[in-house]
Amino acid sequence: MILSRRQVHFYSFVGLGIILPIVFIAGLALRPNYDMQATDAATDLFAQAGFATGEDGEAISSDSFTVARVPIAAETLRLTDGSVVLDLTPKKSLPVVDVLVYWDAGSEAPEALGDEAVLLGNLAGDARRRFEIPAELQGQSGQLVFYSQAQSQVVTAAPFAAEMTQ
Amino acid sequence: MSVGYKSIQWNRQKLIYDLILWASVAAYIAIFMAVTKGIDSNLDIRGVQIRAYGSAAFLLLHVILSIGPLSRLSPKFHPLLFNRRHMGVTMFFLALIHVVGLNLPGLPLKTTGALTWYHDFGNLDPLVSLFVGNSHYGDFIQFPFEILGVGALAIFFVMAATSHDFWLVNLTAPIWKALHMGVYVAYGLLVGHVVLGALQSNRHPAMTVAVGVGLVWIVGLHLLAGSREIKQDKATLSPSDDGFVDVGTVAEIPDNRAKVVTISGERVAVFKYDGKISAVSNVCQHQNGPLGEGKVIDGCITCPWHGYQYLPDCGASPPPFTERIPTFDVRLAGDGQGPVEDQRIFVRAIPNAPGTHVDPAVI
Ligand code: HEM
Ligand code: FES
Repeated sequence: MILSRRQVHFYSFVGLGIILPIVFIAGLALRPNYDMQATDAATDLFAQAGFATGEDGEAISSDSFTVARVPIAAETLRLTDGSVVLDLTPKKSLPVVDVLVYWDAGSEAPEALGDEAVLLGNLAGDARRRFEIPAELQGQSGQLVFYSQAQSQVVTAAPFAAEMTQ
Repeated sequence: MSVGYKSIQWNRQKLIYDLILWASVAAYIAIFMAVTKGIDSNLDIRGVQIRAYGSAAFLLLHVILSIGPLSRLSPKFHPLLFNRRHMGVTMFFLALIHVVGLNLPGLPLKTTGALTWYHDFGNLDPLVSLFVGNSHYGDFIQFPFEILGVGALAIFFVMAATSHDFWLVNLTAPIWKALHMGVYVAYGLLVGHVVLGALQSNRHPAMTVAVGVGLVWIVGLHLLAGSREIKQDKATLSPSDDGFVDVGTVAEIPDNRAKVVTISGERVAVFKYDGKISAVSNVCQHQNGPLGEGKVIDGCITCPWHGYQYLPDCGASPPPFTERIPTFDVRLAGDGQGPVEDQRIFVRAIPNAPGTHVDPAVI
């Protein structure tokens, strides 16, 4: 009884000793080559999707906000082509669905989204996101409005000083 | 079972072994995460967690599979046998976290598993996606390596679920042992899981070398220990006309120890203690440990693996325990002539029913 167990044990390892080295060597030898280099096209797609992947530009100013208890670092930059961008980096993903970032005029935090509010882009995840500030808004003070598209409500608004974009 | 050994209760030693085990696992995962993050801070933490837990389980499996053959090769490793089952259950849970993640209410430690991370972003149920996501079942190099992991995890689940002594007693040791030999199948599946999975995309030579060394170590160690055992079994003794087998001289056996001989294919432990000789089956009732490698302690044969005890003259555990092992009739030849130590020991080839009292041969 026990003898047979010992034999099963021994011969299963003889079996493994034959099969596994074959699997190991064949698995390495037959490994296909996947081209996994990130191309420039990918970088462009990331930029289009609003990720800050391109140049760092020249820093203008920085600030920080808290949206739904998540701290967000804000930095404004002037890029070489003269455009001004706002980079937002949430410390972690926002616990709010479908967040859109708007610029709105005024010095008070708005309760609802104003008709004149300008859409800058969407904010999700915890990667550094880049928003272009249109020329007509540069040097103007206003509010950054964080709006949940799914919940149709303003999550929070933070003052956005004129110095940020000058 | 022995009076001193408590099969299912916790004792100090077990607790210490467990604390060492869990501290090492926690340290491994923390270091894995820190080092990986240090190498590339852009890596997604969830992918790193999946690898940390998967590799922790695989590494622990190597440790577990080394204990058996190592303790066959040297008794120094016997203490590790004591806690092998806790290692196995720990390994199962590490593998489970690798697959389904960890997200218990009230537990601050949260991780993502492979099932959610690789299969929860499509329009299929993650479990369905796991089985149909890659359908190259007929291919070698493109084989869905995850399925090999599923097989291994299923085997580990059965083993973890039946790891308690309750199952050992109810299934009987030989069946339980056979079930637990499924771990070798699981090991083979996992080598496939890693070679066809992680090694395909991770081309760092260190990873390849680590998996290769692990493979050579485990298979080599088992073949080495196994071939020694087979050799011993081949040296089987056959009885003469009166049904008794000459197993050697009294001098060959140290006091309170045994000589193990193979008679008609089964192993018998011949013990010398208190100027007497008794022979019992070498197979412990608990997990079939090698009784002949144990000592006589407090008048009882004590199993080197987990300390079950048997009275040498009747093969029964001291009350209140009820384990019984077969005994063998013994006699000495050359009584009264020549030096006592040169007396030869004869053991009857046919065992008595478990627990049968046999008068020890008096030297
Ligand atoms: C349902 C079962 C399982 C699934 C779906 C699964 C899935 C995966 C996936 C997706 C990977 C990543 C492969 C890569 O990086 O290219 C992986 C790696 C790995 N898995 Fe599993 N797995 C399963 C079971 C297991 C079990 C039971 C073990 C071990 C006890 C295990 C050990 C490993 C190891 C060691 C790696 C490599 C980790 C590394 O790259 O450092 N897996 N698995
Ligand atoms: S005490 Fe566990 S095998 Fe003997």
